[in-house]
Amino acid sequence: MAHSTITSSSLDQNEDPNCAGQQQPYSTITSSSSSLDQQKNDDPGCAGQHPPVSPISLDKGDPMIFEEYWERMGDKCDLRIGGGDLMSYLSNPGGVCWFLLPQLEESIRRIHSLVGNAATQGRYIVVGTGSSQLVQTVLYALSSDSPHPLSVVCAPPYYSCYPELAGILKSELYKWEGDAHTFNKDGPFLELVTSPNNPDGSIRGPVVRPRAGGHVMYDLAYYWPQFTPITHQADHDIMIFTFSKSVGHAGSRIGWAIVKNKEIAIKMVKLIEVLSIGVSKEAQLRATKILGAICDGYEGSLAMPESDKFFDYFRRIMAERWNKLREVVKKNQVFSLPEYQQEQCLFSEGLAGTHPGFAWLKCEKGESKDDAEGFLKGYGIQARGGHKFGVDGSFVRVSMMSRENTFKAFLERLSAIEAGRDSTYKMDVA
Amino acid sequence: MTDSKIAHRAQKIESERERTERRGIYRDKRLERERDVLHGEWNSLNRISLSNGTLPAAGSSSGSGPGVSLDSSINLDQGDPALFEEYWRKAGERFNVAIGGGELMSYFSNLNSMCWFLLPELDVSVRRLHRLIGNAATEGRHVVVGTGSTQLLQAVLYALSSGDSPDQEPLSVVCAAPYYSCYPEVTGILRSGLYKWEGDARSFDKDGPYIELVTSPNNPDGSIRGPVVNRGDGKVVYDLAYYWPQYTAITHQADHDIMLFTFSKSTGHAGSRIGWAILKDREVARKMIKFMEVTSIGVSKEAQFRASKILGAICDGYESLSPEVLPESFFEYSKRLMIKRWGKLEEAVKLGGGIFSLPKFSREYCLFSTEFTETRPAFAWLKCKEELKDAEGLLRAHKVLARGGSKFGVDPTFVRVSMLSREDVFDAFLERLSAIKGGITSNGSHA
Repeated sequence: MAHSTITSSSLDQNEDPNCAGQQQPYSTITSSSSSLDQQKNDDPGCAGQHPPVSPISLDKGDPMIFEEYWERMGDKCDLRIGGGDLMSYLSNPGGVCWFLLPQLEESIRRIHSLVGNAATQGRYIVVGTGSSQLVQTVLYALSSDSPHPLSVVCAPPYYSCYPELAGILKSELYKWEGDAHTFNKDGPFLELVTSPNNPDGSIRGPVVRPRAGGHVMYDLAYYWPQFTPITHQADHDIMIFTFSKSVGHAGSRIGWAIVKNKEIAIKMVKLIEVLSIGVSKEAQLRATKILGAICDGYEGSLAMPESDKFFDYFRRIMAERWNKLREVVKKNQVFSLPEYQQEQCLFSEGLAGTHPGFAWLKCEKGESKDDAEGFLKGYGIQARGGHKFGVDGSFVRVSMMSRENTFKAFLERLSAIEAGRDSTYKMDVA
Repeated sequence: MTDSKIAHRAQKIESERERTERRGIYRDKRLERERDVLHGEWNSLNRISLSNGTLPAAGSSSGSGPGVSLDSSINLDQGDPALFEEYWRKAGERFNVAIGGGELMSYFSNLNSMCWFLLPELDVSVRRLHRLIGNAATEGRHVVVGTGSTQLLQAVLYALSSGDSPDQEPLSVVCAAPYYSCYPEVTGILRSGLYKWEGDARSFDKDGPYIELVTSPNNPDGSIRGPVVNRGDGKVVYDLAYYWPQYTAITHQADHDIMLFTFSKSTGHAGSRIGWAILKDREVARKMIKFMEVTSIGVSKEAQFRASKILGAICDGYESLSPEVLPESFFEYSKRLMIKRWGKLEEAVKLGGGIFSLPKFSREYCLFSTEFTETRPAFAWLKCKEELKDAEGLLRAHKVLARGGSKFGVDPTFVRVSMLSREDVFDAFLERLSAIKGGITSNGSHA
C-alpha cells in the first residue's frame, strides 16, 4: 500500500484505528497547529467555533456516536475496582481460554442470545485485545502446524488493515495474497469475510471456491442491529466480534472470537498467551458490565422503555444520519452511495435497513474524480481513499460514527460542494 | 462482587461449614439445608473468584475450600504475584478506581502525543514513580505503553529489525543463559522474517547486527547482569521487570536506550496487562507505537487508568504528609515479605542436607531504602545434586510443579520456583521441599 505524504493537516490520518497500518511517521505538536483543532473537532459543542480551515477527521472509525448514551446511563454501568482486585494472570484456570473472565463469557453468550446474531452454544469463546489481535490468532492457529504457508485473501474493497496485520512481521507462516476474486494459488488459504463489509457496508459471503485446505473467517464487527438487520443467526466456524463497534467502547480493546473447533481455539489462546499473557482484566470486567447493562435494558425488571434500549436507540440514530446524508448526496450530484436492501430483522421482528458505520462515497464527476480523498480534503473533510481498500481512488470512506456536532459539520461541508461553493470551507490541498 | 468480598465471604462460609460439621449436622435437617446452601454458594463463588486466583492454584483438586490439600500439586511454575494481593486488598480507597459508563471510550488517549494511545495520567505516574524510586531515568525520554512488557518486547524487536531494506537478513536475537524461558517463544512463534532467536549470547558468533536481551535482576536466577556480546553492531534491550526495591538494591538510576518495565512485577497487578518502555530514540519509539497500532490498536484504557491511579497513589503515599498514608508503603511491605520468605527458603534448603542449593546474591547499598540490601528475587533458582539429574522431575514427584532448567537454556539440574505465591501455598512448598531428604520422596519411594 502506498503511504500518502505527510502534511500537517493529515496528522490525524495516523490515528485511524481501522487502518492503523497506513500510518505515516508522527509529526510533533509543534509541526501541526491543526492537531489541536483536530482534537476540538471531536469535542462536543465546538462545531463552528473553530476557525473554518481546520479539517474534520472522519477517516477514523472512533465510535463516539455512542458516548452520550453511556454518559446518560449513569451509574447503571459504572465500574468500581478495588486495589486488590483482578491481580492474578489467571481468570479461569480450568477453561480453554484461561485468561477469559467467566463473567465476560457469560455476558457474551447472553448478548448473542438476546440479539440472535451468532450461535454460541457448544462453541469456544476466545477473548482478545481487540479483534485485531484475534485476527492474528486465527492466522496463527490455521498455519502453525502446516508445512505450507497460509495464503490470506479478501475480496476488495477490504478492510484496509488486513494486509498490514498479515504482513507486519513477515511471518513465514502466512502471507497476504490480496484479492480473493483473483486468487488461484495452491495450498492452504484463509478467506477473510467482513459482513457487513468495511468499507462499503455490503452483506458478503466467501468468493473463493471451497476446497480442501481452505478456511473462512467471518469478521462480524458490524453485524449488530444498529448497522444492519439481523437476518439469521450466524453459524460459522470462526466468527470475530469487537466491543468497539457493538457498543462503542473502543478504548477498552476487547474483542472475542466464537470458535467451533477446540483445537483451533486452543491455538488461538496459545498465541495470546505468548504475545500478551492474556487480556486486561479491567477491560474484560468493563465489557461484562456494559454488555450486561444492554441486556438488562431488554430483559426482566430492569427493562427500559423501547426508545431507550440500546440497539433500538442507535438503529434510529443511524437511520436518521443516513437519511440526512442521502439527502445531501442526492442534492449535490457529485457523489453516489451504495444502495442497501431492507430485510426482515429477527431482532426487531420487522423490516430493517442497513446503515453502515462508514459511508462509502463514490465521486462521480468533476476534475478530482479519481482522487475522492483529495477532493473531500479540499472541503475540509478528512476521509480515507479507495486505494487503501484495494480499489480505485474514486471511492472514499467516511465515518458515520462521530459525535453529533462533528456529523453535522460534515454534512454542512458536504453540502457546500453542492453549489460549487468554495466559501470558507475550501482549502488548499497540501 | 469484588475479589476481597468474595474471599471474605468464602472464609466465612468455610468456618460456618466447619462449625456445622463439628456439630454433626447430618441428623438435623435444618442445618443440613443450611450446609447445602453454603455448599452451593461456595461453588458459585468458586466459579466467580477463579478470575482472581484467590482459590487453590491451577492444577490442584481441593474442592472443599481455600487452602492447599495434601493430595494436590502446587503450581509454582508461573510467576503469578498472589503474594502482594493482601496488601492491596487492605490498602484502602486511595487505590480504588471508578470508571463511568461513558468514559474512556475513544480509541485515542492523547492526540498531541506520539504515543496517541498512552493515557497522559499514566505517562505522568510512570515518570513520577521512576523519579521516586530512582531506578530509571525518564527525563527527555519517550514512554510507550504496552499490553504487558511481553507485547513491548515484540514491539522492540519489530522496531529494531524493520529496516528499509526488504531483503535484509533476520536480526539475531540473543540472551545469556539462563534466560527468561519465554524469550525464545516470543521471538519464534510467528516465524518472523525480521528477526530470529539465536540462543545463548555467550556462544553467539554470527556476523551482522543483533539484539541482546538483558534481564536484570535476571529471570530465573536473580543475578545482576550486563550485556555479554559487546560488539558495535548490536542493540541491547534491558528488561528491568524486577529492578524494584522489594527484589534488589537500587544501586543506580538505569539509563539505557531501551528499558522495559511491567506493572505485574512492580506492584503485583499481573491481570491488568500493563507494561511500559522508556526509550531514548524517537524513531524506535515511533516504530514500537506503529507495531501496537497494527496488532492491537493501542492498549486497554481501563487498565492504563487503573495503573496510573495505583502508581500515582503509591507516589502520593511517599510524598504526602496526610493522615491517610498507610503505616507501611508498598515497597517496604513487599521487601519485608521477600526477606522473610527467602529466610524461610534458605532454612528449608539447608535442612535438606545438600539436595538443593541456591545462588549467592549480591549485597549492595540501596539508594531508595538507604540500607544495604541483598537481592531477593521473585523466583528461586534451585539446583539439585548432579546425580539427581532432573530437578523439575524431583519436585514434581513431591507434588510441586516448577519449570526446569532446559527451558532456560541450561541443564535440567536447575529448576525455577515462584516465590510470589500465596502464603499457604508457599508454606506447603517449604514442607514438601523439606520432605525431600536423601533422595526419598514424601511417600517413601526413591526419587
